Amino acid sequence: MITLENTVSKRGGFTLKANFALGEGRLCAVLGPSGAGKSSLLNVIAGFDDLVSGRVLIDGEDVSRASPARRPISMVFQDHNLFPHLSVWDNVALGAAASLRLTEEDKSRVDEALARVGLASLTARKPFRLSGGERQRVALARVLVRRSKVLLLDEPFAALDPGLRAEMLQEVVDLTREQKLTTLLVTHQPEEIRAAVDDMLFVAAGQVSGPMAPAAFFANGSPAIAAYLGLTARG
Amino acid sequence: MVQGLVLCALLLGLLPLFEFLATQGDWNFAAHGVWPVVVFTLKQALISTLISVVAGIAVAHALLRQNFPGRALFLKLLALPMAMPAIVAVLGLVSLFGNSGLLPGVVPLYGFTGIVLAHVFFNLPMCARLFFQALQAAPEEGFKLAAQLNMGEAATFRHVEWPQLQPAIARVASLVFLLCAASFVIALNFGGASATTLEVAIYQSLRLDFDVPRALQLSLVQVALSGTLIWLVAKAFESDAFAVSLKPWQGFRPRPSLATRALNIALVCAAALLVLPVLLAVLASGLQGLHFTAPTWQALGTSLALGLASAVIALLLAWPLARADDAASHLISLAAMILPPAVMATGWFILLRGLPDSWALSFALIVALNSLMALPFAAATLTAGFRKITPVHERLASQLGLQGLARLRIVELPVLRPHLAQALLMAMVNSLGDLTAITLFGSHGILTLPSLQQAEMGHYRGAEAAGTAALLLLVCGALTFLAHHLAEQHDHA
Amino acid sequence: MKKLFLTLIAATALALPAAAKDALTVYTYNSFVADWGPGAKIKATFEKTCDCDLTFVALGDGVAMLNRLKLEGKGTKADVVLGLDTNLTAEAKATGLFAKHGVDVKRAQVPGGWSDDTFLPYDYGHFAVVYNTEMMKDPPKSLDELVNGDAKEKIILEDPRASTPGLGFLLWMKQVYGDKSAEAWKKLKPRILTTSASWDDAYALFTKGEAPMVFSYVTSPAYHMIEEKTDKYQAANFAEGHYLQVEVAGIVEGSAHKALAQKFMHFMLTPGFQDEIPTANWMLPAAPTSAPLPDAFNKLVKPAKTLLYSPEEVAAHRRDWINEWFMAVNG
Repeated sequence: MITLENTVSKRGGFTLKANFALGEGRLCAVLGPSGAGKSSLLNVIAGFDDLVSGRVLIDGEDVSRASPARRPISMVFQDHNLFPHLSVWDNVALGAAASLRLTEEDKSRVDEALARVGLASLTARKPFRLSGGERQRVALARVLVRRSKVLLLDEPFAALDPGLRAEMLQEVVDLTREQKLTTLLVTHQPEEIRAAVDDMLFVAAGQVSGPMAPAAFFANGSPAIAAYLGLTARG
Repeated sequence: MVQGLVLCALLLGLLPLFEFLATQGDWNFAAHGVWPVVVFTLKQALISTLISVVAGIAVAHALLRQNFPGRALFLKLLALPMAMPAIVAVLGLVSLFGNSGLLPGVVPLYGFTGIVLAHVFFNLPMCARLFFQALQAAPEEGFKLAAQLNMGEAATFRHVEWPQLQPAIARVASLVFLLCAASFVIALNFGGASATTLEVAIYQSLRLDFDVPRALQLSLVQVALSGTLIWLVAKAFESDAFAVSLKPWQGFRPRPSLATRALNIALVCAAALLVLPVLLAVLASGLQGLHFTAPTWQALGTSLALGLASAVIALLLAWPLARADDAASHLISLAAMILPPAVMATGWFILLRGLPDSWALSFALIVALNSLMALPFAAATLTAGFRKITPVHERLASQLGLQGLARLRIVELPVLRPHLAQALLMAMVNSLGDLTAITLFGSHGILTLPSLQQAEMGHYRGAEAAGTAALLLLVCGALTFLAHHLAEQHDHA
Repeated sequence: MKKLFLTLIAATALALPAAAKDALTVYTYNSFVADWGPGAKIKATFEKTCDCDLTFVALGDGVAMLNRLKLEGKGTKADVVLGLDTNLTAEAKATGLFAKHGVDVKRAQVPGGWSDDTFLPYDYGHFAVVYNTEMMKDPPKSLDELVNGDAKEKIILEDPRASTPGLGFLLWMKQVYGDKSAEAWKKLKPRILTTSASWDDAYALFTKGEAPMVFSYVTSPAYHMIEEKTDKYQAANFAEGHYLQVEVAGIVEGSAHKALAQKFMHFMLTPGFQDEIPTANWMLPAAPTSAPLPDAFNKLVKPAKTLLYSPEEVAAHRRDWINEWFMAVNG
């Protein structure tokens, strides 16, 4: 469960306002035109951007002033999710202990997580010898090890081909349900994720609206959404 | 292609010398006291390199994390020590720490400490600039992940920034090592007769004894030593993967703790205290001696022409080397520093002695040697730029059928522009301050600012020499600002 | 690179001058033709008398000139080489590249007289320890006092491997101490602030005030008295005598303009050349000048005795003596 209470954040000259709540075990797509603040929204939740006003709550607990490490949140980016000089196993193990000094229990959790994403056979590899899909799976395995409550995905599959994208999306859905996560997924393919997500947030001109059900999103008459979906005649 | 050409130029230069060696060589080194010279050369160069590189990383890191008013200016000023002929820096350091200086006795200038201090003065700023560039390439996502994974500052450095530095360290360290190993003016003026480097011994055999075989033997010792060390450093810092990013670094950076911030400020201040007072001392003692007579204008014009020509050629040679970015290219870019320029020059001279001796020949030879000596600086800077061109770019360009000039203009130039400006500047500044090539080939009244400065010193004209040194510094300063201005304008466009 | 060489060859081909007048090419050192050096006036005066073109080619210093000549061999463009000193003439003669000068050697007035028929002197100067009177009240009166004096009062020397005065001091020590020179160097060592790469560097450190003494020339104070109007810097007169440097010129054997070259050698010992030496080259003239020397020159130290090795001795022992010095100061 995540709640943004009238948050206002600034980075450079850009201001983002949000006010919404999302329940646990739910997968929410974050949509909107480029540069409208989708990534900023994730940065606010993860604690990379400071709040000017308002609060961010996770399971009712105010984390507004907490450092990124103190928040039960994991973020997966489009690229650079892995440290290039560390093996797959070490990259996942970082989720358990940044010092890489792991207890036996931690070690078995790392092994389990790697098995869960289907990478048990590649643990010794360095990231540059993995495919794009495999790299993102490593990142997901680290999310599992971290036992986060909130998962933030910033266009994580944009560089993958469509078949792989569908497969990875299903993996995210399963993880969200299984681990009772609250997942926010920034994407540019509303049609592709329509059937898989529970909610949709729309970010435009620094303002977050929603959440709304996918059907409601596509049926929404607001000019901004219509323009985004390409439904208005351009002239 | 260019690798081959550079190698050819060098080997051609050595060829006539090997003929001497084959006919008159005597390999009994022990009898000539070569061993202590080798030990001293290694000792002073290794210590100077270690301090310059470690402190250079620390200062670069601190500069990147600690924004302060004047940071951009400070970074530009760090380019200036490289432009100073060694004797100008020596006199600058003497103005501060010498027996007659502002702070006499703070540092024991005459002796080993003085040699290392002078080497660090020259090389730390260069290290800081090159490492700053490497660190800037660290991807924003890495810092975000590190913050999320609760990594401390040390772990963040280890996992996010170190992988960026690693490939740069081998390059920068070998460059600094070579510069220090070839120390001549600094070693003798601060160390006296006991501070004999291989370079001094080579100079003696080539000049005073005109013993070409021995000069070549000593050069081969230097080549073997430097080659081994460069290979070892390259092995030690070998990295099989590095991240590349085009994202500007203004993104998320962890907030340093109070203690780190204090340390950063202390580091920047220390670097400033090392560099700025010497620059100021050179300017202060030179401003009243600043003069603009006919030779000044002539030297200024010649210096600029030579500098520009050398820089452009250095850049053309550095381009394919930086693009290939492999061990062979790296070694080739350093070739002119591994081989003592005086030895190379002698070889070239023997080869070309059939040609009519003329102003143009002297000019061309100075440009050729200067551009080879500036090559490592240009290559180091350009390499950093080429690393920003990702495989995605490459694929995209191939897909679009972009080749030759179009590829250069559309794909490479936009990414490389700031690096090109930087490389051109470094090569030019390096050539402007050079005395080696002009001493070896400078006949027909070719007068540059450093050779004018030297001539004035040689004629009791200390005040005028100080003025010329200050002018050289001012010109290099102006060029630095111009290059940055050009690079930045394009960045913002 | 290839392109470079092509342009280079093209450029040099174009630069070949069309020889109209008789031309004389003289290799000399940089400071001779510098703006404040004697070169320009000497060229003008000589060209008035010879109806020829005199070209100075400036090449570093004496050692650089000789090395260049060795590299060029018989193909050299030089007709005259001006600026070797007596430490180099034996080696220069051994190359077989020099011809007899054909000038009456009695015209050359240098301490100890002159008899070499290959090289002709044009100026000379005694080396001396120059001291700063503001820093030093009681300068050494002999080389021995310098060697055994107070280690707190330092001297700046030049490296004999890289500098002519540096070699001069080494020879001076050898003349005075002979077989015991290694011991003398060891005693002197604590007094040496540093051994600079060149006279320029050493003198710059000295005038900055880094040490009260520097190794230089007897004539050095004349510059400061005439140009800077100060007698702050003085040369110390040493009881054992002073080592001498004589600068000479010679005609190149293969020269195509030998007659003109001989004319130049004659001219060298006339006032037209010699007048420029004292205050432009800061050395003493080797033949009469048209007017007496400036007063400052009368105030200079007059060495009681001149010390000098023959060129042959220097050539034979230089390497060993440098080795001996190196071992002594590094021991």
